Amino acid sequence: MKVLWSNVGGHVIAVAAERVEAATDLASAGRDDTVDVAALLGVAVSGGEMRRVLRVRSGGAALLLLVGESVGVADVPAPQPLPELVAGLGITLGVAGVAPLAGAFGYVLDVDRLAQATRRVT
Amino acid sequence: VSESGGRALVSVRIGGTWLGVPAASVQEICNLAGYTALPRAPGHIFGLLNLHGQAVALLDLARLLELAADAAAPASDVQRRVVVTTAAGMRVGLIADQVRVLGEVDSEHWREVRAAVGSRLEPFAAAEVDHTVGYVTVLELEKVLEAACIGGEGASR
Repeated sequence: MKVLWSNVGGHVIAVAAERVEAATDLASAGRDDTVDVAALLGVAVSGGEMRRVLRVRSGGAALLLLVGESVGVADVPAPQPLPELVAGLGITLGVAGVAPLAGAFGYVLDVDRLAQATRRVT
Repeated sequence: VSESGGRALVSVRIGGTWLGVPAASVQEICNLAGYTALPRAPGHIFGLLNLHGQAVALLDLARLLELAADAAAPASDVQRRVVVTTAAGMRVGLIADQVRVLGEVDSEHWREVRAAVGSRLEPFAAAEVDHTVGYVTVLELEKVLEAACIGGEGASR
């Protein structure tokens, strides 16, 4: 499975590449359909750190994911679910599962779940 | 349980406390290396371990059971060990400062819980064992894992 990944506050997050329409700069963020992944993960990102935006597709709508400065592409095995002990965190984090990535586990975001949550809020 | 009434245990030292888990529930003992931090997890969840490609949750019993630190404990994560256990339908890595495989412990060495009475450990203690390392508090592992399991909002169950 091909993913786009980014380091957000020390955590590696990934999104299925087939769902990503574009990776752009921060200027296109700030709309209601923007998800700040750092806030989602509960981590602080320094004010001076550059951010990037992934424009992803969920159903017929677009969602903007505010991620870290660098965005990479990688082939990873299919995500495995979070271990049973911590499975409940998947909902909190909007994570579909984990996959070995960049020497650790990357958290593969569940774009559809995030889109639903965003629509409920806005 | 053996013919002599003994049960096989693996003991783990956490700070100044020795805890025992049934050897039958221990799958593997490995080093704590290359773990991944888990965002929004409570303090007793240490992170995820990559065990042969599979993600295993790491449980910090010191935090969950409020066990006192000990000056003799290793300073770095590199020296710490992980005891991978299965219980309550979960596979979980227990982080330990030191591990000893006790093997069969005869029934004469077992006693009711005394040392752990009144502590955070007491509800999870099944018995105590008198061994060369000192008194080992044998855990009810299923109870421990159920208490450590995370609900939907990131809080302990």
